[in-house]
Amino acid sequence: MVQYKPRHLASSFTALAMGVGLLGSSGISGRALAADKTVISVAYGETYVFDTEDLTKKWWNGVKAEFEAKFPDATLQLVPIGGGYDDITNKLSLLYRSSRTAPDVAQIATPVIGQFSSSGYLLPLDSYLADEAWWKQFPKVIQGEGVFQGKTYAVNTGENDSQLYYNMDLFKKAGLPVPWTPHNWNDILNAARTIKAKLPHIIPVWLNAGSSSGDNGILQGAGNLLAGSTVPTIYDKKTQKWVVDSPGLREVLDFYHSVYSEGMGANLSDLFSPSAVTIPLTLIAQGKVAITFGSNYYGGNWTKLICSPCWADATKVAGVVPIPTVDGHSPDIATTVGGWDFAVSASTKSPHYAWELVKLMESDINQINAANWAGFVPANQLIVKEPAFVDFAPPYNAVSAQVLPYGVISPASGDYLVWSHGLQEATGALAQHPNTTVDAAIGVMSDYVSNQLDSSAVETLK
Amino acid sequence: MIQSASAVADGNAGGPPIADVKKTREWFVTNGLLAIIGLAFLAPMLWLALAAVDANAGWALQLPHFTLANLIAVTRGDYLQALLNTLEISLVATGVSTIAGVFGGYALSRRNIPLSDELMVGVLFLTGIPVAIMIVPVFEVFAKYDLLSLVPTGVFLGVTSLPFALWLIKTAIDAVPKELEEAATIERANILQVILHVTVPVALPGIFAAAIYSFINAWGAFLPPLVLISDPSQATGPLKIYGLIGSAAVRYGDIAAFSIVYSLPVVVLYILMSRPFSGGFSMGGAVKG
Amino acid sequence: MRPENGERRGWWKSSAAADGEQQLDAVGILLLLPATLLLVVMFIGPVGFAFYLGVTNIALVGPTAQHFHFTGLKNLHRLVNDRLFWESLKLTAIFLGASAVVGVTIIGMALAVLMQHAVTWLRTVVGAIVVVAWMLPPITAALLWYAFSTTGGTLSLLSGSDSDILNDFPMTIVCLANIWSTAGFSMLVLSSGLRTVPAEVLEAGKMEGASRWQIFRSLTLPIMRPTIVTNVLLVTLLSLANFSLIYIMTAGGPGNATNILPIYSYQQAFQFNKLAYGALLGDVVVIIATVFAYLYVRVSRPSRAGYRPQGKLA
Repeated sequence: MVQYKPRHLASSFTALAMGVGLLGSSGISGRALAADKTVISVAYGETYVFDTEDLTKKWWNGVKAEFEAKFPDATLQLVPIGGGYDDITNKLSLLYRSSRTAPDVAQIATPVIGQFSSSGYLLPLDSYLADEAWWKQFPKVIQGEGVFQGKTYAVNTGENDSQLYYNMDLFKKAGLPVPWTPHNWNDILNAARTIKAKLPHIIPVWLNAGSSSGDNGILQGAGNLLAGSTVPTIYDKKTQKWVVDSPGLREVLDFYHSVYSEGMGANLSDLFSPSAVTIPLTLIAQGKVAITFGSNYYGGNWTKLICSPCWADATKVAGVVPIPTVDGHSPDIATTVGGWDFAVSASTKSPHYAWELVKLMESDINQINAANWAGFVPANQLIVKEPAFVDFAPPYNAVSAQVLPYGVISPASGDYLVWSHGLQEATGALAQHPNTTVDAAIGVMSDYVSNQLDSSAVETLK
Repeated sequence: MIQSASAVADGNAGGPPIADVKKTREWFVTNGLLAIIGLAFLAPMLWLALAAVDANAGWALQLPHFTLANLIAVTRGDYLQALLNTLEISLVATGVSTIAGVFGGYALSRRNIPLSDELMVGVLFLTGIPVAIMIVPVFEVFAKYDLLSLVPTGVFLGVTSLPFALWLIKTAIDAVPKELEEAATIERANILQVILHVTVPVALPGIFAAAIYSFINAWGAFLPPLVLISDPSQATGPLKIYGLIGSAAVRYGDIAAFSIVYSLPVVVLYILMSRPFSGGFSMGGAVKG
Repeated sequence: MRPENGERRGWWKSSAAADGEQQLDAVGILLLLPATLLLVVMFIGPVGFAFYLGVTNIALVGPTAQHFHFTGLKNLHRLVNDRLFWESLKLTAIFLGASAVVGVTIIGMALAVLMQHAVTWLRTVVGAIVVVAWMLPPITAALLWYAFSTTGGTLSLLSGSDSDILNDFPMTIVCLANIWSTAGFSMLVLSSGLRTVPAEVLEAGKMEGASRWQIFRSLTLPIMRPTIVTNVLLVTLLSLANFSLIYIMTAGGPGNATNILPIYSYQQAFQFNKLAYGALLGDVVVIIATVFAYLYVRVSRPSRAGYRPQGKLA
């Protein structure tokens, strides 16, 4: 890749532009220096994936130093991508459109691997993975997340799953048992009703709703409930249709209906805020919410290292327990799972180095650091038992590692996001208008998805 | 466009008129109404001012736990670099659209260009086109020629404001008395000399209006830098703010503080420009022709 | 618009046109060349390409990302049957109508008129506030209005409740935000328009004993009409292109309450990866912009019979 020199063009502009041109860009030095070295580029989320930008830099600069020390004839070029979840995917989609800009290695969100591999952008990794011991430690469900048409195109570098957080102080005040172990969804609703009756100023339940957080709101909200419902199907592989009405969806929306029509949910401006998924972290720490459907990273965020927000007493106040299934059916653990993966570009000129980089990033220490600094659960089942991970945010990390193998991964099709948006609209309607019926909410979802994808692409499961 | 508020009216209003009840009432109604509108326009800015110096800032309006830490944090390192990047991109954009706009505007105003009316309509409707729909083709071209960096993005932003600039400058040049140019031509000045030494100085207010429009347009641009700049050290102000909103830990105080720092240059621009040009320098004049 | 200018330009233009009517003006074309080239390569080209993409099956990512092809009327068929599109078109009309018509004719005009009669210091202060609001970068304006209208924000505190006004009245709030950020422009345009109203005309009105309101309605307004219409159309064009404000404030939500066409286009192209359909929706915006530009030219062209100056846009 030839580095474009801003200075060159700037000089042909007015004196104004020139003067500031000198102040402005610092240029990328990596590529210029590397004239006679093999350059491997790696793209990743700059602000979104790790908990803080400092930790992003720490991890990636560490990888760069380690890689260049191990391979003196190679240079690692870092390509951080700013913005949120969608922005990372969008930028990667654009970068991969041209082999000139496609990064050799990229950190890709799990739900979009299917789309990238079906575009022909990614290199199958099966022959490399065959010999790796660490790969054998990945649970089957996670090994499968990078598979497209029988080949593996991506390896996981950290997962997010969900669990229930509850405020033990508030539970005690309301006369509820601590520790609390809900066995089904009614147990959750009943605890919430007790909180509402005894502690009227407390938000009984935080449960993400609406579309402001995109698919993240589903992964950290309704998706967990659907995973624990009696009919969790999202995409019917037999008929190749999207499920927009099913007993499972109705159970989920009925739960939403109970929470929001009984006034047990959070206020709308928080729920519909662009930063909705991170708001409960603060609400829990402030003692304002009793039960939260939340992601595994909460515990890590409260630690002194991450501090967003800092909460030294977290372990004394915030209890954690797996989300049960609707009626307690086995395994009585329900969670979505979705994370980030590493993939290699099909157009890379040095697949060998690209793979060496992936291997290096999958090392135990790098995976543990990534998990702790980004709030992940490592896929490697040996690493999840390492004290460095478990003791980083006890007891939360142990529970998130425990529920991981039961996780449900969302379908790897581009149209999944349309389905997800339909469900977001349905939960949003229930949260915003408490008199919305479950039938009406199903109608919102089914209308939306069939309008977007055509009515022949959706179905009702009995 | 940039016109000091005091030049908005011709100074025909003074204090309360003498002992005329009706006039006094009118005076109160006028000034009272204006004050109310002014307050209404000021109110949304309140949060910014308070949150920027609040150690515990959130979206809500609250009395701040006073701190300067937010402001200090956002005026160094990456943030300072982002401001310089925004400045660079904006100056490039301004240069491109103003220079192309002056020559093009002159041609459209003075020279015999076939279909010039139709061209002007075409130019005008380009003003309303959302940049989002051009972004993918532009990205492909930029990617192909290794242009995904600051200066080419500045050029692109300059082109997006070129339609409006062209049109402002053309209308400004329309108002320049033709005799001035004829006199210069008789003295054997060539066309470039005429444009640069005769037309441009007279049409300067309109040209400045176009330049400032381009500058502000580029300064506030969000989507093009988001898509077209690949090196994070070249990120511009809006991308920084966007990153702050989207990051795992939202720091509201930093968002507010950086928004102030980032908006300051355009406000300064307003103050600087409003004085010397308070007389004839108005978008109104340019817009009306 | 100034008569003596118009005469002179008309006279000069017609004489210039007389000796160059049929032959090309090489120097003129040369001068126009940089602007033309830039616009063709970086503006018209991409827009034209977007029109082509609108009738293909290109995706941002997926099997048809690279290998896309022409799909005829398929996307158009979807467009016509897409209820969200028609809803979005309606919302776009409301947003533009409210922002441009209310913003310009009521807020902008009120500011311009009041400015004329207010005391100097107040004029200076309010003028600065309003113009700064206009000059603020869109992302800042969006953040301000988000904080202003959400729970605990200034607006909800003023209303004395804990309500979330942005979610309760999303369209109203985004329209107000847009008015807030364009009123400065309208004020400046209309103020300078007001100054061109001949003093003698107003004097004459006063002599006949008309009240201020009568003078304003039957003398000032008719004279100002072209300026106002011009301004309405310009603000419409500028609002149409302003994507960031709504995207940052509501991203089109809650539900689809503020999902105007530029947002819907972006959502299809960059969130659902349906680049082709997103491009088609963008094309609709281009067509709307064309209509407004055409209207603008029609309105601002002097309608006096027999008088047809070359500079029609003046």
